[in-house]
Order: sequence, then structure tokens, then C-alpha cells
Amino acid sequence: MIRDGFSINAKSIIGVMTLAAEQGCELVLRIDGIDESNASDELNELFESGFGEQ
Amino acid sequence: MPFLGDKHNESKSREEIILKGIPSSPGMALGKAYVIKPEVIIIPVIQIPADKISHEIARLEDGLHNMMNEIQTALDKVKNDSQNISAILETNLLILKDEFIISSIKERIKTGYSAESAVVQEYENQINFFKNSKDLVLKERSFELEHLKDKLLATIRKKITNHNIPENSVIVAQAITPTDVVNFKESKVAGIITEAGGIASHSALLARSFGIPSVIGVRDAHSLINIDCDIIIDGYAGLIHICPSNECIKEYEARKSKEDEHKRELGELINLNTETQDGIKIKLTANINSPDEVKEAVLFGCDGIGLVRTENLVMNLKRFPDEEEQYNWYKEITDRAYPNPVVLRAFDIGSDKYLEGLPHVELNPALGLRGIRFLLHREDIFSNQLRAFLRASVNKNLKIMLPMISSLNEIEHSKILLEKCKSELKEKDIPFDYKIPVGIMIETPSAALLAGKFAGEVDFFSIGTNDLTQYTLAVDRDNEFVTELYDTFHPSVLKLIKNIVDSAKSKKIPVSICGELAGHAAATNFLVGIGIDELSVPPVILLELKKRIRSLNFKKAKKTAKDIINCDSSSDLMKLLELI
Repeated sequence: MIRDGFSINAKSIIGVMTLAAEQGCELVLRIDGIDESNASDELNELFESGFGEQ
Repeated sequence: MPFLGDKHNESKSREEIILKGIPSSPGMALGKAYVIKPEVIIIPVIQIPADKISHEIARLEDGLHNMMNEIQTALDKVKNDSQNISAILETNLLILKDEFIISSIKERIKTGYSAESAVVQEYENQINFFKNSKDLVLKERSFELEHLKDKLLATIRKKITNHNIPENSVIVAQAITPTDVVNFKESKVAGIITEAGGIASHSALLARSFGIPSVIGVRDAHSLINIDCDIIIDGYAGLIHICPSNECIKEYEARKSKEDEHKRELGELINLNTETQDGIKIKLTANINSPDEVKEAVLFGCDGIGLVRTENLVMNLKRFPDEEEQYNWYKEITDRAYPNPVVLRAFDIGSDKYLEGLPHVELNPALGLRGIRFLLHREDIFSNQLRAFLRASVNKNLKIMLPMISSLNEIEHSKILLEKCKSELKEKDIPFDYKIPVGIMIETPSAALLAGKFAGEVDFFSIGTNDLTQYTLAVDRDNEFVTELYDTFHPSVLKLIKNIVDSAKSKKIPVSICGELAGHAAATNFLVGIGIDELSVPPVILLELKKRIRSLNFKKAKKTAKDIINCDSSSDLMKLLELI
């Protein structure tokens, strides 16, 4: 997960916290691995649905 | 203001002491103090020989395991509560389980440090990162990591004290973790007082969810409060009375029984959602004039404060308050209402209310230098207020509202001033909400007609129906000769309201009503039917309004609203509104 050139491994919750990603900011997700296409679909869905908060 | 009794006498005479903190969970309670002394664990940097490494790693794993178990136990206790509550505890669990931090702690042990030293070093790295953040929420996370770290250290050292807390205790602690709050709830504590601040913290959030009255940020609480002394905690105002006098107890009991009576009367209604029978949610917020009124609004279960008439501060003081006075007043309101949002309306003042700084006595103040016109005429006063708003916005629950807007350049001009105030604060390193929402009152026919344009420029609308009616119909309702012509249900007013709501919807910004029409029994059906998002009313009618909304059907209301809008005859309109 990348923000303004600063990248972290999204498996680490502390890493995600250090991104200080407030609502509405721009994030780049890089998905790499054997289940990458599935994971990318599901993440897309999660973002589209506003993390189930809307 | 904290005022302390004479220190030399306090232990003997048990004089009453009043301390002021930040109100973080509403409610009142009287109980015996239960002081939890902080476990001071000093961790020296300890180097270990190579043959001890596997032993230290085992100690770390043991500590992690025990602490995860403890959180899991707390999770089981709240499984019947709301999802938000378990989500908080799960976050703590995720932090502990974070494989990156665990592996870096282990790496550090392998370079020859004890489990405790390694935990301290790795956690401190993360904590410092958050501590230096200007974002209040992230700063708050640094304290939570700190508490988690201390707990982990104590667990590794097996120094966790099991507290046997008697029922109805008032907990006094330096800081607490979310897991602690769950355990306190189980022990049926009466209230929680902490020295650490942070109304955005997860522990404060949990106390609110459980309805445990709580005051935080009370400096020196655990050294000033003796175990077993009586304490009254007032989670509305953020006050605690240590060893209260008999008078104080009497007053407390009177207030408490009134509060309980209210709660009984309102019964279940207070906890139910404000939604129509077919599930359309409406936000219910309160109009208030002072910090004290937040309490009543919260008691009646509001979703926030929809209007604070800040000009009351001017009228009470009989002069313009300085930035500091304003900041304190606004901060008090946003703290008390937290986490609910608060809309602070900039001074809506005209020569009918106040004369200082006005050029002359005006013949017709309602059409004169008032609201935004006065503020832009006196940029010094306006900037003071904007700076005070910004400073009070650190909790990110404050919204600014501009009164009496009638043209676009008033919005633009105000925004330029706001940006100027933001840079001034930035330069001085004073924190504020960078994205503070700015909305406008729509109360002139001009603004109602241009709402489509304005909606793209601001973050929300609030309709002031009293002025909108007076300006649309050209009727002064205080003038006895024309007062019967004043009609908020006039077809022209209703058409304007519809236009405002449609304009807001087209730009997807929220729209509320804060005028008298919002609470009018005959108007609810129409307002819900045209798709209003929020109704802001005096606290006392919040529940009555909620009851009415819950009896409506949105689809039916939508149809009736359509008929009302297409109706040009006043008598037909009265029938549709069920007024006759």
C-alpha cells in the first residue's frame, strides 16, 4: 500500500496506521501473489462499497 | 477551573474538592473511589548471553499469548453488544498479532537483548512516529500503543494485578485500555476518571457505548483522590466532586432522580433509530445557545448539535468576546457533544441585537447590516471568531455555518478569510482540522433561488425557515398589523424549500432545517417526503419528533409532498397538511 511514495506492507496493521490515510486521500495498492486477481477483485469491492460504512 | 482545598487540612477535615476535566461520557454517578496506581515498570536495557536467547523468545511468546487470551476473554464478554465494541478490541488484538512488529522484536532479542528491552525499543519506534503527528487521531493512537506496550511488559513479567473491584466504584486511574473498560463494565462500576486525555481514544469510546459516566484529562487525579472517599462524577460537565458536602449530595440526588425520571418516561424511544417505517433514516439534531444545553440534547439522544447560536455569547457578555474566550466556549461545546458533530453558526448579529461597531442606528435592521454582511464589514471580529472555531476543531467534530448569505461573493470572501486564518495558525504550529466543513444558512429568497449554484461551493445547507418566510412574504411577524400574513406553510415558501433540497441533492451535500418548521407537527410529513436529511430542533422536542418520524412511511410522504408542492390553493394545502 503506497501513499505519496511511502510504502508499507498492508498485512501490518501498524504499517497501515503509519500511512495516516485520512478519508478521501489517494492510495496506490500493489497486489502480488498467487491469489492476486481474487484479492484485487475483493479489495476493489471493499473500496467501492465504502468499507461497508455507507 | 480546578480549585483545591487547603492541602494540609484535606486529609483530616475531608473538605470537598472540585476538579475539572474533559467530559467524555455523559451521565452522573455517586460512588466510592477505587484508585488504580499505575504499575511503574522501569526497563533497563539488558544485554543477554547467547544461550539465553531462546529463553527470552519463549518469554515474549508467553507474554503475547497471555495478553491475547485476556483480550479474547474480553471479546467473549461483549459478543452480544454492538459490532463497534468488538471491533475496538479486535484492533488491539491485531496490533499485538502484527507479524512485522513481532519479528522485529525477535530479531532484536537475537542481537542480545532481553524480551522486555526488545519490546520497549520496537514499540517506542512506532510510538514516536505517531507522537510527532499533527493529526489528533494518530496522536491518540500513540497513547494506545503506549498502554498496550506497558500491559505487554507487565504481562511478560507476570505483574498483572487482578483487581477485585466492588460494585458501584468510581475508577480513578492514570490511563486505561479498552480491555480494562470491558472488565470495569462487568464489575458494574459507577464511573471512570482518568488522568490521560483524549476523547477520541478507544477507551473513551467504549465508556460511551456502555453508558458509563466518565471524565478524562483530570490532572493528578490519583494522587488527590484517596481510596474509599466518596466521589460524584458529572460526565456532562466534566466535573468531579471529591468528598462532596451534604448540600452537594442533595443537589446531585435531585438531578439524578430527574434524569432517571426522564429516562423512564422516554423509555425505549431514546435508543431507537430515527427512521421511517420503510427504513429511511433522518438525523435529529439540537439547536442550542450555550454549552450547558448540550447535556439536555445528549440526554434526549440527539445525533449532534445542528445549530449553536454563537451571538448569545455576545449578548450575554454585552461585548465581543476575545479569541480565547470564544475558543474556550466552543471547545467546551465540541468536547461535550463528542463524537457527535456540532454546527457553530458565526455571529448572526444586527443592530436590533447589538450596536457596537455598527455605523448608526438602522431603521430596518432585518434588511440591514446583519449576519454575514456585518461579519465582512468587521473583518477583525470575523477573523477572531474563525480562528477560535479552527482552534476548537481539533476533535474534527466542528462545522462552520455562515448566516444570512445572499450572494456568491459573500461565500468566496468568507473562504478567503478562513484560509488566511488557517495559514496564521499553521505558521504558529497550532493544530486544527484542515478540512473543517463550511456550510451556509439559506434564509433569504436570493440564496434559495441560487441554491443550485451555492451547493457546489459549500459542504452543507441549513434552512432557516423563520427568516426565509419573513423575507419571501415581506412580512415582519413581530408587526401586529401583518402578523397573520406570516405563514411558514405558504406555497411560495414550501416551493423554495423544495428547490433548496433538490439543489443540495444534485450536488450530494446534506441539507437540514433549523427553523421552527423543523419541529412543527404538520410539517414533518412534507419535509421527510421531499428528502430532508436532518432536522434540528430545541432539545425538548427531539423525542416527540422522533416518535412522529417513526410513524411515517417515506413512500407515502413522498407522494403527499408532491401533492403539496403542486397545490396552489391555501385551503387545499391546509387539508393536505392535515391542519384542517
